[in-house]
Amino acid sequence: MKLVIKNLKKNFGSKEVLKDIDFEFTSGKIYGLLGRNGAGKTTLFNCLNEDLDVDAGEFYIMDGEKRKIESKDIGYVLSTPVVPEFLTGREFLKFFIDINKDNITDIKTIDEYFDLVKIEPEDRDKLMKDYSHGMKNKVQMLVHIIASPSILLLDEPLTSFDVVVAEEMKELLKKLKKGHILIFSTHIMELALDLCDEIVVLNNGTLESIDKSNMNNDKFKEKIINVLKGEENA
Amino acid sequence: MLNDFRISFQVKNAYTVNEFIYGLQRIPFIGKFIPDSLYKMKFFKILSFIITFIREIIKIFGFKLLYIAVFLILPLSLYKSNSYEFFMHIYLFLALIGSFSNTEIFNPTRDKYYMIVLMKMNARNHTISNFLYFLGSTFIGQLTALLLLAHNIVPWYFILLLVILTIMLKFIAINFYFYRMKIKGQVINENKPESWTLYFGLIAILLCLAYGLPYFNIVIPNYLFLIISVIILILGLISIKTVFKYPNYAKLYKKLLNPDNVFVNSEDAQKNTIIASNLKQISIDTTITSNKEGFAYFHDLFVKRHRKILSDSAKKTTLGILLVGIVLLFVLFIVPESKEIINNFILNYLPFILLLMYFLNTGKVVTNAMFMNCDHSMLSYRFYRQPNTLLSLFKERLKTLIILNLIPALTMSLVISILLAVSGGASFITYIVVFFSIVAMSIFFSVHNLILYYLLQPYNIGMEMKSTTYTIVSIATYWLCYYISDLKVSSFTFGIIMIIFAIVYSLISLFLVYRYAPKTFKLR
Repeated sequence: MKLVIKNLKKNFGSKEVLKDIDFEFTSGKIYGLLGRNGAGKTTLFNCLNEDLDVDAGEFYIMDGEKRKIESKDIGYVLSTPVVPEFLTGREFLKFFIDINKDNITDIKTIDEYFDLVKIEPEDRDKLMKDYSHGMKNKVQMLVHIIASPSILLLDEPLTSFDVVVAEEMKELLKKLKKGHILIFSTHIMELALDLCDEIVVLNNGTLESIDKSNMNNDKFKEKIINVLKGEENA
Repeated sequence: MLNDFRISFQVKNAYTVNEFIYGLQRIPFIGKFIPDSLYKMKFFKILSFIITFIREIIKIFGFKLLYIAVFLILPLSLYKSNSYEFFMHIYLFLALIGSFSNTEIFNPTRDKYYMIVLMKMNARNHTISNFLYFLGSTFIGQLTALLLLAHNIVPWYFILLLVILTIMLKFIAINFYFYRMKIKGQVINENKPESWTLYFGLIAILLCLAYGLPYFNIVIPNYLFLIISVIILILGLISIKTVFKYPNYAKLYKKLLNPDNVFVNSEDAQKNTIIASNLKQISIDTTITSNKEGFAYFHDLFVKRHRKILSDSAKKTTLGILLVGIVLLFVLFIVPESKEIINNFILNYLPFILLLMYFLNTGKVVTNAMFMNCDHSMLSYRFYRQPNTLLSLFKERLKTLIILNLIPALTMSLVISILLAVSGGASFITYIVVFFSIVAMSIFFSVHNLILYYLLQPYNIGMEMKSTTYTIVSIATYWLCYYISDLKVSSFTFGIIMIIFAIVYSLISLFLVYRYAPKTFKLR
């Protein structure tokens, strides 16, 4: 399965944020999306999630045949977690599983799901308005893990986790990548190099994959920085 | 110090012009034609200087003239007095109010935040130079306004004395605030008094003394006024030294100029306030549960955990309607002549009830709570925006909204039917039409408010209502109701039309939501 983006353009007024994006993401990989501040990473995610209308171009799934991306195909984990704060964690998961049960394969119990992201039993029946930022982030991540969409967009999702939870989440994402496309936006180079199978840079409104070849991490990092600075083409 | 004042004036100029251009860019339709390049155009720097200059002139002279005219000349003319003692009496109490409520030094302004916090300007130099400007402009503005408007009431030397007293009272108030800070160990913010009750109580007392005593021909006699003036002058002169020598301006502003104090209207501050107040509305009752499934479960928990905000307004309205009904019934029994008037009103002025129902419907309060505590977060999940999801939840919400509003509507229908019966009665069919037309009005407004919310989703991600179209439609709805309320049509005819209209409108609305809401109901 592939996510294909063809000639995607998005402008804000006279500013061309996404110029002419042509790219293919393949399942089974975690892609590290790097870009400087304001490069358009979130805009790209918003376009793919259909939160924003694109000005030109298209994107679709190529799975033997070309097909439109449906709601169940895509999940978007925001950097600032948003959860319905009037529900408890358990109630939110129950509601989510209730209405998505036709699309969920291998349904587990709610407690098993909580165990997966290590939300403690005493927190599971608390209103989410009393959850910490990190716990809300876990719940947000969890509903996407449950739904298991083919494409998962992650906008700096690990920044609010402590080091232990961040490591656990990284392992979880690595397990999740089989059969899925994970696009992971981050500013932390080490995280991208550690977690991701491929590094993609969004620079001057276009996407380009950075070829690691036989370079060691330091050389590769230097190459990425140069691309981000616009000093060298990969 | 002069240089500090010049720099702070330039900074003020810069952000004035930037705000002006930013404002232009946000005007609907026109805004997109305003390019960012305007920010660097020299013309706008000059324009900004002119705007700032005009603004200062208006502040120094215009506002002072208005102040003297409204708060002194007008009351004097109402008291039919031309006595300078009356004038000076009122002026003194008003100056006392101004002394503690407008000190300049304890006012956390953006200018100070930019200059002292962000640009690290010497706090003392900035404060003293700007305070001198404030005093100078107060002196000139007040003196000019008094000479222009009160020269035929108050002799010039008393005018001069009044202005000097104004200045001295400010020094005394500032000195008093320094003293309070030292004793209590906390910073004073003149915009956020420790106790609003005490603050407004003091203002109310001073206003009563200012305007109440002259009503009974009691004013401060001349000799007492002069004694008070001497005391103020002495205390003022002592305070001047303290104010200019005060060593802790940097410390004071470090605490006073926190963003929450300065940017009370900033988007972040507003958003945080909105979030905090909305979270408080969620019931923490741990016994609340639901045995429903899917959307019904989700909505049921939302309603149960927001019961207070959702039903409070309906309960109060119902109580109000009952009270008005009881009073009117009482009037009908006490004053038999009122029967004809009330009967005639009910039979001929049903359109007026439409306007009343417009105000009584809780649709806007409910949709606001839905967005703030539910949709604001849920709309970022794509499954939540699917047509079937939207329609399922819309149906649940519509049921709740209709039921919530039916409680006061049924009460009103009942009260009006009883009043109709007691005041002389009508045909059976009229009772039926009046009763159900009020119910239809309630259903119409419930549907209308929810439809507008789904089709125009007026809130942005910062939780502010930003939709021009929503505002226009809301205003149009009000004006239409207002216009209809004035129609001369029998209640029977209007009632029949209203019932049919509410049914047709509801059916069309359901179709519109199903067809368009998946595209329109999203975060902006």
